Amino acid sequence: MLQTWRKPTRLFGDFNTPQFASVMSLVVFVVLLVFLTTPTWHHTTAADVPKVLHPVSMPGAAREDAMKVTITRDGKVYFGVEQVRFSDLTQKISDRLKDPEVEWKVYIVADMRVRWGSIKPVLDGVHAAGIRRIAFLVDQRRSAAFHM
Amino acid sequence: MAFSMAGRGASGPQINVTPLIDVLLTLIIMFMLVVSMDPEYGEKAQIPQPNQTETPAVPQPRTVVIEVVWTAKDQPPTVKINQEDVPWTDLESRLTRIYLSRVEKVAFVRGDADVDFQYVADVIDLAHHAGVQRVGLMTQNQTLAGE
Repeated sequence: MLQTWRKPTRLFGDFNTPQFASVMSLVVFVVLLVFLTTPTWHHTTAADVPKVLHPVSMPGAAREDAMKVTITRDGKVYFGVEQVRFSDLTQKISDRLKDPEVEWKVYIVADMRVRWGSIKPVLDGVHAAGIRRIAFLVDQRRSAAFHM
Repeated sequence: MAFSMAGRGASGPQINVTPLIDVLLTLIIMFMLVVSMDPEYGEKAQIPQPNQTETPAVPQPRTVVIEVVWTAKDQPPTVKINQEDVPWTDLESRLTRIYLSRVEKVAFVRGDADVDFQYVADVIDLAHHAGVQRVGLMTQNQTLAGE
């Protein structure tokens, strides 16, 4: 009796580690690139914040519902990521304050080269919304070199 | 008599990638931790509420107003404490002396419109470090009693 010989099926259970390593290398490279090219993670828009010697930690600014007003070098004002006019800022803040969970504090992310005269109207707008407590987000300055 | 060779022949040198993957995984976890733990830094300040009732100003000689005065383009501004010129290098020590014996550690900061924000931020920072607990920002050209 003739029996047909059949080669047994092989199961491939090997883990292809070189390919996995390639993917991992790519992921690390991308994360590194993003990490190095983004100056600081709290900047919602492009603003080079001032560097000071003794900043304090602001854990509230990292909250998702933190009210952040950004003033860029060219004087544009953003509430969160939305560009607003000075006249609309008070209303925008007042609308956010209807949420009982939101902190009654405005975090201002202002470019270090922006004129103080461009920040004053923003402070007036924040003040008109009934907020007294503000905080300027800054970076840590390493050197103690100072203005002479 | 026959010999059989296992496999398809001599295999070439291979890199052991398992440690590489370990290192890469560790790197990814470290990056994620660093990003998630990156703290926000800031300087606290307050916007004083204007006096609603028109009461006569009571002289308060203890009010401290720090002014940042614009001088010229591309030149650092000067700084004054109650209208007295103070060098930038002495600002912190002068404020420390002023607030050493005070209970109410409040200062007001006023800046000229043309001054860069960096200088105002420096004043707020130095005031906090000198012991001032509350910094009020004067946004209008008002004068405080006692100035």
